[in-house]
Amino acid sequence: MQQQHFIARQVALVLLGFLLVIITVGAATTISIRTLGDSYQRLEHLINESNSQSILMGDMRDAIRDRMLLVYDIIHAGDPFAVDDLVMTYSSSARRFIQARDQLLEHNLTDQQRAQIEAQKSILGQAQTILNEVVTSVQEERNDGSADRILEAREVNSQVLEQLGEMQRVQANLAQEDLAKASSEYGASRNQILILIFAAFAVSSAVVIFIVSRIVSQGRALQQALDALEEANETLEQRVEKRTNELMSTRADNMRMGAELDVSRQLQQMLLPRDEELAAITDLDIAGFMEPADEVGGDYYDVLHYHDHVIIGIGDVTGHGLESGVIMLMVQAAVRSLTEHDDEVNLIGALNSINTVVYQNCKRMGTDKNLTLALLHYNKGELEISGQHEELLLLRSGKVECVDTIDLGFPIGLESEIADFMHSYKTTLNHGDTAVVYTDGITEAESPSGELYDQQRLCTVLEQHHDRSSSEIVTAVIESVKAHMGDRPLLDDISLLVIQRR
Amino acid sequence: MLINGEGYSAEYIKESGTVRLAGVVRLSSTEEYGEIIKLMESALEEHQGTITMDLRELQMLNSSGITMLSKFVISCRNSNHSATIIASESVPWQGKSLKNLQRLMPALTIEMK
Repeated sequence: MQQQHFIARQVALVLLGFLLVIITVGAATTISIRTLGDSYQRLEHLINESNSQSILMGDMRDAIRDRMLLVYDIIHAGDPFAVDDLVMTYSSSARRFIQARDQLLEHNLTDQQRAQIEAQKSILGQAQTILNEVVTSVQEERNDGSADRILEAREVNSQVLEQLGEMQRVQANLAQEDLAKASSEYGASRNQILILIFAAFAVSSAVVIFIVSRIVSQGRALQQALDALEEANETLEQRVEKRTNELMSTRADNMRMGAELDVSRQLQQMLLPRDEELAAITDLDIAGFMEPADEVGGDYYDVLHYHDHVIIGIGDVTGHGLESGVIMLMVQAAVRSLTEHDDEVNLIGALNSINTVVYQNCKRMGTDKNLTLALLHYNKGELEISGQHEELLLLRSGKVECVDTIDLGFPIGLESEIADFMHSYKTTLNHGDTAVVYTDGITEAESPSGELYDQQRLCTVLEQHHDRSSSEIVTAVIESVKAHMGDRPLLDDISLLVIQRR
Repeated sequence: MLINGEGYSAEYIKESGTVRLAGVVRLSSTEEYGEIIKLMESALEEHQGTITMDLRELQMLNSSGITMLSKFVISCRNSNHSATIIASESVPWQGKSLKNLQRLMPALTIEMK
């Protein structure tokens, strides 16, 4: 569409250009022809004028000469009839002279010429008088000194003849001047025509150059626009492709992350002890709670029951995602295999072995992950704990005792050898006493203003609910934590395990 | 060198060989800690004397962050750098973690302020 408009504009421009050229050249030619015609007419008029003036002056001179000659003839004619004829011719030549002079006066003469002609009248009159006397005396057949009178008349006439000759020369000069003037005008006209033609040529060239350059520049602009459009298209294509790749990549990442989280969440949930397993432990009332954060963390807890032994594990793998889930799975399997046998349970030995397993496997996996892990062993009222984790809270007679675990172990999987740091703590769990373990998701839960829930709040809630069942205590603690968080999202998994001796 | 994150900052002060961490750091993986790890490693590369870790303003460091700090202390130990941690008694998380750091590097000096 755009291109059609463009072509139509180009055609219109070319036509306009040609029209301008034709008009310019036509105008120049018309003006030139008219100027040349005027010059020619003026020249013709001048030549005609000059010619007729010369002829009339010549006629006048001829008439004067004829009269002079006729007077001679009249004097020497013997026959009186011949004298009469000659006298008639003499009179007619006088009329010819007057006729020629009158005609000359009608022409475009200079003031000087008119004054001269006027002055000639009296001289001619004088000569006329003399000649008339000579003719009259011849007619009366008197020959009284006619020859002398003729000489006198010739003298006078000669003056007029000279004047007329002079006038003719002046006239010729004037004609020459006019001719020169006309020639120069003609030259000027010619120059004017040349200039006009040159101007027409220049204007036409300018118009043609303008149109061509316009077309070229518009063509170039069009080409540039097309190039820019093409480039923009390419850029757009590249951008679309890049964005598509990004989206695909992001989508792929999200899908991968989503899939990983799903797997992790399932691993986490499927390995939790079932309610019937917990209910089968007659000596203890155990309730557990775990809520994964949106980005599932690495919380782990387990309760294993083997003969009279109850093994409880609680841990927190750093980070989140599939790797954390896999490490958790490793730990769960290792704890079960290392503690479920008939020999005496050795928590420290089990933790050392687990550390080695996790350390080596993390190295193989190329991950920096490690975990805090505490293992508890309950057997007939005796409770032993080993491993570094959050504090063990013992709720006895409505009061909380805090057991620090820092000196009981070391992060699992961080160092290859941790045996030096491993210790255990033993206590007796009396009937009605409650042991509580948890992950830092609880104590580090943030309120909307960023305040941490902390261990103090946890202890207060426990003391307030010391006479309740394990599940009631769990519910009370979780409600308190949720109330503290308000509308804040869960930043980390929260796990809580309450173990009450019946 | 200064990193300003959401709610935290990490700075390496070249002249004194000090790494200063402040605020609440809850980045979710070692990868996300990459920038801070790089900053701390540059301290190890550039500074010959004692490396100082100023953690007084560090209100909160999650387990991935503690792992990062632990690995850094191991690096100090392995590269025979002497190291000092300036900590605050008023920040609860630091007690247990600092003890672990001390265990990783017995020569580590811990100043509680």
